[in-house]
Formats: sequence, structure tokens, C-alpha cells
Amino acid sequence: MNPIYKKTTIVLLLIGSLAGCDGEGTLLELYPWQPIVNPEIRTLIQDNRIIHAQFVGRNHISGITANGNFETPDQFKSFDFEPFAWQEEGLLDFGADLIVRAVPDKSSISLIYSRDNGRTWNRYGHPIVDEGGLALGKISPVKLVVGAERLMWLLCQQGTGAESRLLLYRVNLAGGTHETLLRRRNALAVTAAAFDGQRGWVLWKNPLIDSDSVHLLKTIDGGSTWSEGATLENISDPLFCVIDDGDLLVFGQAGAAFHSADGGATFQSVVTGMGPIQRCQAATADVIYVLSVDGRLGKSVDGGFTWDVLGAQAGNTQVSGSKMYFQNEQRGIVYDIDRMFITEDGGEHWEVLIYPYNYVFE
Amino acid sequence: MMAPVLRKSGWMGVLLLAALELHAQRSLPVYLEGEFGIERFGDASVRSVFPTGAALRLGAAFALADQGRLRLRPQGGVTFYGNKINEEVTEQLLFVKGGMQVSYDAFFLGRMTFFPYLGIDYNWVSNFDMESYDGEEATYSENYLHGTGISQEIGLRVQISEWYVKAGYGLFRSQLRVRRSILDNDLTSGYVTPPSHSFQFDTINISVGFSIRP
Repeated sequence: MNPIYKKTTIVLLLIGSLAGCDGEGTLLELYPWQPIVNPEIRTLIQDNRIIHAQFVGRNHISGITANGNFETPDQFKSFDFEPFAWQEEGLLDFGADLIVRAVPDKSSISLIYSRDNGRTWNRYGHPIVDEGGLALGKISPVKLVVGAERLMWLLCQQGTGAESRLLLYRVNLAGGTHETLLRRRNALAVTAAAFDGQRGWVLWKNPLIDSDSVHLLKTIDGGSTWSEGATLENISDPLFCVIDDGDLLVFGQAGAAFHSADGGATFQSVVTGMGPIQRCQAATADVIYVLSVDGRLGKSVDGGFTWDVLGAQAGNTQVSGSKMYFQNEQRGIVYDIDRMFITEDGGEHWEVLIYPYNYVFE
Repeated sequence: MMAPVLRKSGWMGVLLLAALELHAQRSLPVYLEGEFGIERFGDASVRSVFPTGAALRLGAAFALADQGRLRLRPQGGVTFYGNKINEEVTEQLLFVKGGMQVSYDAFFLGRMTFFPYLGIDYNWVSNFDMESYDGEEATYSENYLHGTGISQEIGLRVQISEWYVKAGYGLFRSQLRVRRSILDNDLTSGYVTPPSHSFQFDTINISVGFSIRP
């Protein structure tokens, strides 16, 4: 072989063997990526669950899990977690800087409350139900409504059937006082809602006549007097939502929805297109959000007359949850025991704050 | 996957033939040149995946000015890197190039002539897998990453008779786009992936080649 060709062949073989050297990994592994959620949020959802969350500032979210409470100033890029054992018992409602439980206590009810996001609890020191009331039978809490200025309503049920009685108490935690606002015989307590210190509503059923009809009672003077409102037919275990002092929404478990523009005197049927609703929040008098039982979010911008189902996506993840908190008509969170989503534009766009991605648990 | 490569290579062949035709019409001194060599990335992270690549270039060099010492070479070529993932799958990184090289017959020592050169190429970059199972015909995946960009090269060529050895340094930063389905899968898995990313593909290269008058 000609020496020049021989050398060329050797060079080509050398080049070929060098080009075949195997590396490590793949080029795609050098491509940058970033986890959508802070993996540290595993603290909140691994062997744990989110119970409550709300805005306490522009980007500041605080909340409670079964194992402690959390606060984040930057949408969970960082967060503080303080462990403690959450108490599961009783009926629960969250107010501003106040969590209240109505706990059955023998035949009566005890109120315990926390003003430090569930870390420590105090007991309301006075017996809410007097001894004369207790003589008529055991009292069970049905609905707790925590309002402004540590004022709350407690709707209770005593007895069943012909002996059933509805009781509504107002408790002023700040003043350490309470009073009975309403007693009604032959009535099953369904739910109650209050708009301010003066206006409030109670829904009840007649246990003897019409088990599928719900009747409404209304007060505009802080419970001194009550007037009969409309009766809603074929609605069971309704969700009651107060929009303002005159506009109300009632959602039935079967998916029926009703709107009142006259404080509950009359109702008209509205269609949400979402089936049963489990949460409702009026961000303003016009903008109202609802969460369906299957976790979908709906929005009305005309005070609840018409509704749009928001096909909310955060990346490739469907926005869903069982609870929500809207700070205003634009900014809100939707969350569940292991996830949380945030919108800053009224539900058009969403971001994931907490989600059980695989890497969170690794 | 291979069809675009062949199409691009075909266009380069047409350009070279056109250049030779031009030479025939104008009687410019022209050399048919080809070279084969190895390239190695300067960036350590890219080099860890693809330690060494093989490069092939073809061009027609026109001797233009200063008694034919200045040479202008329209050129085309490919650079190929392979990384065996397992027995069946080899990841491949392919650069298809087309551009121009300027060299100058600067000086000689004995039989060796020294040509400093500058080159500029337009690059099509593809990153994909070649899969071959049980001796069956190889199949090629869709591109994981792909992009384009302009590279520059500076180096020195030492020529003896019709043969030469060339060493150079290539500067190339390419913005590669990731496949849409990868973006979607990452998003579903909880990762945000940018649609494109700049890779540094600077290389050192050594080649052997020939330069003949047709």
C-alpha cells in the first residue's frame, strides 16, 4: 500500500474510533427546567392536609393544616410552618383573625376560639344555653357564622320530630355576652347567614309537613323581630350565600339555584350549569364565585343572574378544589387538601402554588 | 429525520457543481477540496455527553488574488456526534453546514505551505435518537432539540502537495428549541421548561484533507 494512503487510513480509523466515544447523560438533560412548585411544600401535604387558607396581605397567604399553620409572603417561594396538633372536633368557622368552634358539650354547646391561627384556644366562659332550655333536650350546633368585630351567630337544633326546636344565638366574644335571637318550635334548623350586625336570615324546614321545602326567616334589626320570607320547594341541604343586604343566592344539592333581589321575599330560579355547588363567595355585589361539588369554578359578573363555568387551567393542570378565598374580584385562591391555585385576573389565568407533583414527595 | 439532512446536503452539492461550472466558464484556478476530521466541544457539560464528533467538509476553492494566494471556498458539510445510550439507542447530534472559507497562502517551509483561514457557516442543528432493535433497519426519533445559527472558525492549514492537515477553533452559540411534546410533558409533571435555550457549541477541530485541481 502507498504510504500516504496507509497513513490516511490510520487517521480515518482513529477519527472514527474517537467519534464513537460514548458520553454520559443526554443533551436534553442539559436543557434547563424549573419545578413549578417549591418542593418544600411537601411539609403541608405529605402526611398532612390543608384545612384553611386565606390572604392576609397582597401576596401574604396564611393557613392551617392538620399538623400546624403556615404563612407565606411570596406565594410559597418561601414559607414558615409552625407545627401543632389541629383539633378536629365541632362545627368550625373562620373570621378575620378569629377561628371559632362550636363543640357539643354534654347536652349543651361550648364555644372555643383561637386568635392566633389555631395555635392556642380559649373557651367562651359563659353557658350559651340556659338550664331551662336544656330541660327540653340535647342541643346540637347546625351552623356557625363568624362576623366582624368578633360577633357571631350560632344556629342550633334541639330535639326531633314534633318536639324539634330551632334556636339562634348571637355571641359577642369581644364583650363576653350572648343572647337568644330566635326560638321556633316545630322547626328543623337548616342554615343561617348574616350580612352585618342588623340583617340576617335563617332557613328552616317543617319536620311534620313538607320535608323538601325550605322556609326563610329574615331580620333587619339584629334579630329583635323576624319576618317570613319565601318558601323554596324541592331543595335539600341548601348552600346559602349572602351577596349584599338585598341579594341572596340559594344552591340546592340537586343543582337547583335561586336568586333573590328583595332580601328573601321572593326567589327566581337561575342556572349555573355546574350541578351541585359546595362553596360560594361574593367578591363584590356583582362578581360572585362558586365551586361545584366536583371542584369546578364558576363566576357570575351580574350579581348571580347568569353564570360562566371557568375552564381554569394552570399550565397543564386543571384548577380544582373544595374551598376558595377571593381577596377581591381579581385575586383569589382555590384550594383543597393537597393543592392550591392562585389567580390575579379574576380567573382568566392561574398559577399553581401547591400541587402533589411526584417530585414533591421524592 | 434523515430526509432534511439529505435535502440540505443535496443543495450543497448543487452549489459546488455550480461553482465548478463557474470555474469552467471563467477559467479561474479552482481546487476541489475535501476534509475529514474530529471535533471536540469546548464546553465541558456538552463534551460530557458527546466527547468527540466526526466532521466532513467539501468545497471548491477559487484562487482569486495576489497570484492565486487568496482562496475563497464555498463549502458544505456535516458534523456528527454519537452517544450510545444503550445497546439499541444512540443519541445523535448532527450539524449540517453551508458557508464560506477564506484562506491565504501565507508562507512555506520546505514542502509545507501554511494557510491561515477564516470560515463562516450557517448551521442546522438536530438532536435525535437512532434506534435499532435486533438488527432491524435503524429508525430515527423526532428531534428532541433543534435550531440554527451562524458559526465562525479560525485556524491554520498546513499543506504538502495535494494533502493537508488543518486545525481550528470554531465559535458557535446556537439557540435550540425543544420539542413541543417535551414541554407539555414537563408541564404536566410540574416543571417549567423554556421553549428555547442557548447552547455553547464552541469546538476545537483537527482534519486531514485533499486539495486537487479537477
